[in-house]
Amino acid sequence: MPECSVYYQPQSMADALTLLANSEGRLKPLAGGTDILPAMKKGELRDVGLIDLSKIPDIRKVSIQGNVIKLGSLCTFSQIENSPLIKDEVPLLAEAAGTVGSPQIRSIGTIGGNIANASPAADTVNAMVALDAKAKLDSAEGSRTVLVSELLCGVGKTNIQPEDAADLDLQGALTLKVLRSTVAHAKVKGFDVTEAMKVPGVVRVFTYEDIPGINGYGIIVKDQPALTDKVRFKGDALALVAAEDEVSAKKALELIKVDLEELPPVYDVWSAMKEDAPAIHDKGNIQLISKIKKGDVESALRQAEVVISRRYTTQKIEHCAIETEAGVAFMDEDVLVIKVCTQNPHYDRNDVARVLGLPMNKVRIIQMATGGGFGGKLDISVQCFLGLAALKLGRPVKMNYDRQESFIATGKRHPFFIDYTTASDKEGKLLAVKVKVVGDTGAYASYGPATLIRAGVHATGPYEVPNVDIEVLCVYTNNPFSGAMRGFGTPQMAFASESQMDIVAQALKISPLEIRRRNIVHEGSITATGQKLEGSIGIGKTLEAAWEKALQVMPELEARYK
Amino acid sequence: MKKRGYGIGTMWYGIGNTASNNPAGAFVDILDDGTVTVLTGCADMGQGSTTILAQIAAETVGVCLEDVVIVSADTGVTPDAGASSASRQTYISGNAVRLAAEKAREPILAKAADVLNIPIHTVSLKQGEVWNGDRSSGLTVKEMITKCRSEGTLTLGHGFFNPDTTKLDPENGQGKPFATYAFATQVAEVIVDTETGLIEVTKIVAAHDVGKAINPQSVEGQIEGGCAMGLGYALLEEVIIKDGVIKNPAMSTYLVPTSMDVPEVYPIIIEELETSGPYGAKGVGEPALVPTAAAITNAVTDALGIRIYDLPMTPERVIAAIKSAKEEKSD
Repeated sequence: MPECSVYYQPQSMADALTLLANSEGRLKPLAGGTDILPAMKKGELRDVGLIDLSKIPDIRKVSIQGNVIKLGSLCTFSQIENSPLIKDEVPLLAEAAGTVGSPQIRSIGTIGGNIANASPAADTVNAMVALDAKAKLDSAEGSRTVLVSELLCGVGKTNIQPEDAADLDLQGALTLKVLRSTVAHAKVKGFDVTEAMKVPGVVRVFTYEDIPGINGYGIIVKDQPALTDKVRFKGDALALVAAEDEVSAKKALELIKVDLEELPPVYDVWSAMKEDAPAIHDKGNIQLISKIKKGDVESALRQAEVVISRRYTTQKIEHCAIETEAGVAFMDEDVLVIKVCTQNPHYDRNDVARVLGLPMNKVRIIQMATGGGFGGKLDISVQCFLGLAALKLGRPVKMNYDRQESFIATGKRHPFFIDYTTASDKEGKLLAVKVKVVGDTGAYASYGPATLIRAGVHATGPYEVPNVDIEVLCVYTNNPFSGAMRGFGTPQMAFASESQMDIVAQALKISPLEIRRRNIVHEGSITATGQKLEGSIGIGKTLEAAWEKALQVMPELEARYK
Repeated sequence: MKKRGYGIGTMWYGIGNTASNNPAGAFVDILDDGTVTVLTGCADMGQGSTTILAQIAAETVGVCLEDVVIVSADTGVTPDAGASSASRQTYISGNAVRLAAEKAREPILAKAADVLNIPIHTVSLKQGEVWNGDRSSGLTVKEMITKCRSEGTLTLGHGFFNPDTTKLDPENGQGKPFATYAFATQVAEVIVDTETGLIEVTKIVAAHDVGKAINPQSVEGQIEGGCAMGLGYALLEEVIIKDGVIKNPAMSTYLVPTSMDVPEVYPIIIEELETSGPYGAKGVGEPALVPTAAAITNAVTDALGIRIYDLPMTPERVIAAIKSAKEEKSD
């Protein structure tokens, strides 16, 4: 037998869980031992002690309650394989259990160990996933029930240890769900929540009238209500339901009656910019116009050897971070604590405090392990909802967007319409660029102004351009809103400006490499905004290094560019 | 027919928020046993800022990476570090942590200079030891901390950093929007099937000037991930909206690149040190993605001799572009 530093044999589940909770990872539970003992033998688990679960009563049973079959975590494969109940009701699982290892392995290996170790050879796990089996996980802090399919994250990896915000389960936490608008543009005249409140388990329905502070948030412009009194897109948040469970909350959503006075919607930036367009916000639909001007573009265009003008369009895209928006909230005496996935905890704090009318130091945002952001978690998503319900109800609350809600209710990459004119002399030296960009920010500004201004500042690409005339517009429409996304308008601009460079090069019969060599910025270059570049300017080195490597790994490249 | 093409995309990217103050703060506490606690508001959502900040703290205090614990993104205990956006945290929070760590180590340097009876500017702290010029003195950092603490001197510091920028003139946009810029060039190789319109990206070379690469493996990870995301932007991804309704709000209908779509990426790290950055660092988070769609677009044009002006370059768009080019020729 392998060496083991400490060995416990608790007589009850409670004792086992206490041991495990206090072990700081130094103790491992021992079920059948078919994975852990070989690992110890190989020396992979040095200094690890064992908690032998074999003496704990009642975790070796196969039973049926109603239409649910319960398997104790210490049920062995041969027990499952030979159980008449399993063979009759879920033959798939019996068959799967029968394929595990050898008879010797099957008589000691357990289904609990099979799941917990996430071994790629875990034959019963596929069956359990197919059967939508759920696992009940116990710890000293409490228990939770998770789909087996959601428990497995990869080879040898599970999320049995709660980590992400969605995995947190506070004792007695209420579930929150948002009623979202199905019309694009409307005034909210009133709500009738009578029927919704009759659903057993529903604790409260909140609307804009329940917002205690200033009902508007936003990183740059505070134009987005937490719960709205005016609908601006199909997906705008109208009401928030707090219920004991998700089913009741969803049921209540269907029963809330909203009295809306519909307004004409505007779905494209060109209609939105017309003078007689219906105003989505009080100050009109053009949220921002920003200009960058340097030199004399018109005279440069007249002197140029080549002038290229093109229209480019780019699409709206979604971040698709692996984790959707989620969080929990509770009151810690008089401090509202919100644990949430976020890229922007201090901003979250400031706007939650604003919307709820709390001092900033009475709101505590704790970032949970966050499964990717890419800009999608810079904005408020679930934070104000969680805060409002926890504050008003004095109970812990939780909420988790599913993928569809994540698509509909959070910011996207701005679609751009780019009119780009480039002027060059006959050597391929850029003389001027003239650019107009219109970005569709949808119903709310979010990071729109920052995206458009950054797009303008970067519009020339990393090139010396003596004359520039750049204009960017950020425009409201009744589309789902656009916000921050990795690159903030510069991937759109690179698509346009780099296309332009190749078109100019082709017109002058210069190679794409050469035209870039002739125009890239260097120490002392002046940018479109008049900034003199100093210090670290490695564009030339990246150009040469990338080309050299490309010649090595792309064998046909050299012939092409001869 | 399958046609091969090559394209270049370059980019520049200002580090930090555009033309606005965007400071970050940090606290560093060097504890009795020589370990270090860093408090920073910087949210790590998988990009690795916590590791980077730990490396910077370890380097500055002169202890091992394992001796640093980062407490991050809890407004109850950590100072404001601004958003984890705009590729700003390595540069801005990195500087804040460096400055806080420099402040926290001041009494240690002073004590070491005192014990060794040498001028303070010749003392440095490296990997747990006190150095005198280019030699280890034999004293440990831990001994010096213990001495400071036993004499009632705490070894803690705070720091904040705000990049040197100006507002842009509202009339003509002139000003200094960023203190420093990252740069990159990517070269893409594609094969376009003229029958089906399918574009296969076969290789991407991606050279990025990130300043000092504090964690080269993490920089390479960013570059590879950025190329994958840029490929999705160029070829696959589009939130389809009709009358204000998102028609494809699901992973089954909204296509992101899978491992079958992502080509071999050759990351190249160029380190043009930025004097205002922590140990010369700038940033890479967003730059990794910025030129990819541009490079792929130019490669597709090289392959087909036809340019597409709208993203994403779906098979339908490619076929339509080929068809309309043929029609133009025959006219």
